[in-house]
Amino acid sequence: MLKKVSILLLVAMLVMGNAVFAAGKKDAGTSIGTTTLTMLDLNPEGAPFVSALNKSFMEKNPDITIEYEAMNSRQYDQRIQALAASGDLPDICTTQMFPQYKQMAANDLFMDLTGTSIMKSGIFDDIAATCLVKDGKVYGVTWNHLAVGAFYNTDMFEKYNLKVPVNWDEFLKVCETLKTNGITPIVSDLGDGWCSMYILNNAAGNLIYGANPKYDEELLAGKRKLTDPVWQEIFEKIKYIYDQGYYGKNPMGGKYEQSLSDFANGQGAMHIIGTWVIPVFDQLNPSLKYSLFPVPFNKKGAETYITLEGELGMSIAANSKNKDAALEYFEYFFSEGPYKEYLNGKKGFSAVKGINVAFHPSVSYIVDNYLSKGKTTPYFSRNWPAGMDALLFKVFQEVMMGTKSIPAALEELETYLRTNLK
Amino acid sequence: MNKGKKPKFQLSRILLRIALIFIALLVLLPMLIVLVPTFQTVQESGQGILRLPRTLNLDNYREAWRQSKFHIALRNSVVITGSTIFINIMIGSIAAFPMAIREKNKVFKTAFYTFLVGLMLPFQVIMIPLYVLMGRTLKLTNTLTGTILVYVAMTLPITIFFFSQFIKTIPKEMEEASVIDGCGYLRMFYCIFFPLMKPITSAVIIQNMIFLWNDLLVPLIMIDKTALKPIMPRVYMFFGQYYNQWNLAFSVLILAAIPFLLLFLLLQRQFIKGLSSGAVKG
Amino acid sequence: MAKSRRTSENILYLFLIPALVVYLFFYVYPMFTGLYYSLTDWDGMAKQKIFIGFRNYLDIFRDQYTRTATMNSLIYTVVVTFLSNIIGLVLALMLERRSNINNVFRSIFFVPAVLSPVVAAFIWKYMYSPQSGAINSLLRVAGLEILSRDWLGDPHLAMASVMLVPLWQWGGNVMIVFLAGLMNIPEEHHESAKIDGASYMQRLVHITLPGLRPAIIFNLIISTIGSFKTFDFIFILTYGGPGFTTEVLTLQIYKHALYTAKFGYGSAVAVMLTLLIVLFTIAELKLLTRNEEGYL
Repeated sequence: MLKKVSILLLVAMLVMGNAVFAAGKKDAGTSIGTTTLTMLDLNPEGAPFVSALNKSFMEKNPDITIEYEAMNSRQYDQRIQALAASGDLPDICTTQMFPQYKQMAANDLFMDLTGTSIMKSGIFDDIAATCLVKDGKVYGVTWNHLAVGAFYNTDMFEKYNLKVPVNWDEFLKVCETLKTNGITPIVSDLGDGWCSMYILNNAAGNLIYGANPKYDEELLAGKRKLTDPVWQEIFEKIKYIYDQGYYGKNPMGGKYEQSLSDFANGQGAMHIIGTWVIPVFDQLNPSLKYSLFPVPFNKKGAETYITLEGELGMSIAANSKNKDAALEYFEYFFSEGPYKEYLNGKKGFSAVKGINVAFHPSVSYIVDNYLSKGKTTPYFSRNWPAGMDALLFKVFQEVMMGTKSIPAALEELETYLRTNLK
Repeated sequence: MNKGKKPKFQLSRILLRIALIFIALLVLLPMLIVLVPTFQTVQESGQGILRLPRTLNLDNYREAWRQSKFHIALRNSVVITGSTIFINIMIGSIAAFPMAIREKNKVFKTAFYTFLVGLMLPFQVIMIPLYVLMGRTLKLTNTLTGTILVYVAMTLPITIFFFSQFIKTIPKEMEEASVIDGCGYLRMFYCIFFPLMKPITSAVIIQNMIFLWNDLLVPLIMIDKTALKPIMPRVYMFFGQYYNQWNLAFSVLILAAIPFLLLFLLLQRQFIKGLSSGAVKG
Repeated sequence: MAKSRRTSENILYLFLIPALVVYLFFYVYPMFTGLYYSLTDWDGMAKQKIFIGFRNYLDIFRDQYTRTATMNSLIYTVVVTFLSNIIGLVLALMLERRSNINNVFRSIFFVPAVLSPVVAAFIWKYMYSPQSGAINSLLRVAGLEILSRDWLGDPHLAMASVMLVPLWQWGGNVMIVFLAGLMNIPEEHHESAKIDGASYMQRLVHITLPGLRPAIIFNLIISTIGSFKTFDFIFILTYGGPGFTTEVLTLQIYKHALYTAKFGYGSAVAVMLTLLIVLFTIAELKLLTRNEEGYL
């Protein structure tokens, strides 16, 4: 037995080992004069379009090779944090407006882009230029923007004679009609906690941030509290649709990936999520007809807002040895030709002033009614302390399942906010 | 069982068989069910197992193999597993020797318990410190060498535990006899003890092979480059990337399980003997 | 003569060195670094780490989330350890007789153990999926839709669903160890007991179980340690959800290190988990080896 296994192992190692070590060597010692840019991305949905752009960049710049890897957000968080701990980030990494990236910026892990020619040229709009700013310095720019709301299956809405709702009562009526006709109104899953972020974004936008853009500052300063009645109202309203079964039978055990294909395959009427899923829907079911509206939490007659935010962006590692090449890549990325092609694939909103592409049919409603009128709000939690989102998702799930009361949940969140604010 | 009474024996035996078949089905079912999406198209795979595939072609596997660059991952896994086990057996067996034959010696006793603690240590405790050490100080991240070294360290506790438990069961007279023969300890170990340790060596190899081949966390933090990734992190990443193509994702999953399942089927007697002989003393 | 004896005795220390060096450098050193981090307020990326003594450890007792996770880890460990041993034992007794068909069964029951936990977790994620998952689909086809559940999403079922996976995967492994233990019980014991007219149950209690003691100790300890350290299954299946119902300590540590920027605190929880494991292992050994001289 021992002999058999050792011989097997030895033979396999001899056969394969040489090849691997040789491959490894070739990999490490690239020929003179070429630069290798490492690039880590958390965006499997957009990866094909970034890859395509990388390819054309490498064709234009044969002396630069980009090693690109995209992974889902959970995998990315682990990688980027481990890399940050060792102080050794990839040349270009994907960043967002969320606190953990601000903390990395505060620890000087990213290059300060403020003085670079691309920032000086002022091509970026406000959202893109301010997505990762700490102490007045810019550490990253957004690739494109996204809108968050309820995607709905237009054929189903037509079939049951439903109009796009603009206030809470209408929204409930839509859900009820769908449910009585045996259709799952909302297929969004709540099992992958982060997906609950998007309905909360619409709710907070419509009931809080739309009317008072300064709310976040007041909240962080202690003038407002998460125990305020308005948060109670938000949780109660979502709990109501959950209890009515509008989320379908089993929303807690679902999974983000599954919910996308459920919507694409017509197993439900609405999906509350961001616009990055458009290419996925189109790929899963090219004949699907759908459109987007903000979930209206407001009373009749009050304004409705849609969530518009920088999606993902990129930063350069502070200790990168290839900053020039990385900046060259940035310039190329946001130059007209490549950027348009990227936007066309990704179906995102342009972050660069003056460069626009035709909108995907599914977003024309919100463009006409909200974006063009400036009725947009940012993510509600963008300035909250690190870890707050993770707790919020959990507590939200507990409230929905009924294992925790709403006041207790809000109390818990408020406590966490205050103790972790410093 | 009740060999004496023939009819009752027959009945109980049939019941036993039925129960066993039932359990076997339960055990096998999940593994068979995930074969379904690997023969479906993308659209079908989004709708679950009830959309049974019409044909049994291997296109998904071919596509998954190509897109995941599976051959590279396979090579890396073989090299990492093989090298680790080789080094591990070499240095582990000889280190277990003094610990087993000089149980009362304070130094060896301390060393033994130091190794034992390693058995109980959750990987999360050392995850980031290890990463900082490998990345910042030694510059060994993104190398197979670094990964192998970490694995050798991680597998040493169980190796040393098994070897020393086994050596303790070898009669003391063996050692005394060889001392009289004028054997040095090195010769004593390699000429007399090591050949006797064959069964436990296969046990250790198999234990470690199962762990090394299947582990996710170490390569996940040690290796960035796709060209150096072994199978499991490759599968895990693939699931992240092909999140909406169940047919391909599950094909890679099956591909990942096949090499080891084949090895198991070829050597199942040794597997089972190996795993149990280490466990039960005497 | 005496001198040469001493030098040759010293060579035994040399035997230890290669293994010890690798182990100390790549395992013990990071362990102590982790221990040091647990005494600091390090956020996981800042260049400076401020030493804050045992404050992180005191915080553990005030943190309701760590308390929940500890409870979940304990429940998971106790249930999985207990049930996997019962299942393994029953299977081993069913397959005790040596025959070709039994060998086939042994192999079948053992197959899941050679799969990676990653593979197993993805398989079961697919099984449990509420809408198009295999279990609910099969129930629907069988006309038992009433039994279909949100296996991983129902707070009352999630933990049980998660715990089934290690049982499925490791039950066969436990069985193999018990089978080896059964072979070590001399046949004569059974024969003489039979002649005395002992029933199957009597023989089980008085001969088989005592004879299996080394196997039981081994299985209990290995399952306990493995269950406390479990990560992949829960990470892939539920990620601790829904709510906090399947949040275990390893997951908490991971999240503190990677999301909440409390690496120091996470390290303290990790040290506590290590102590918990050591404590359980020692307790099991003490309990089961009372009259045996130095098993370890």
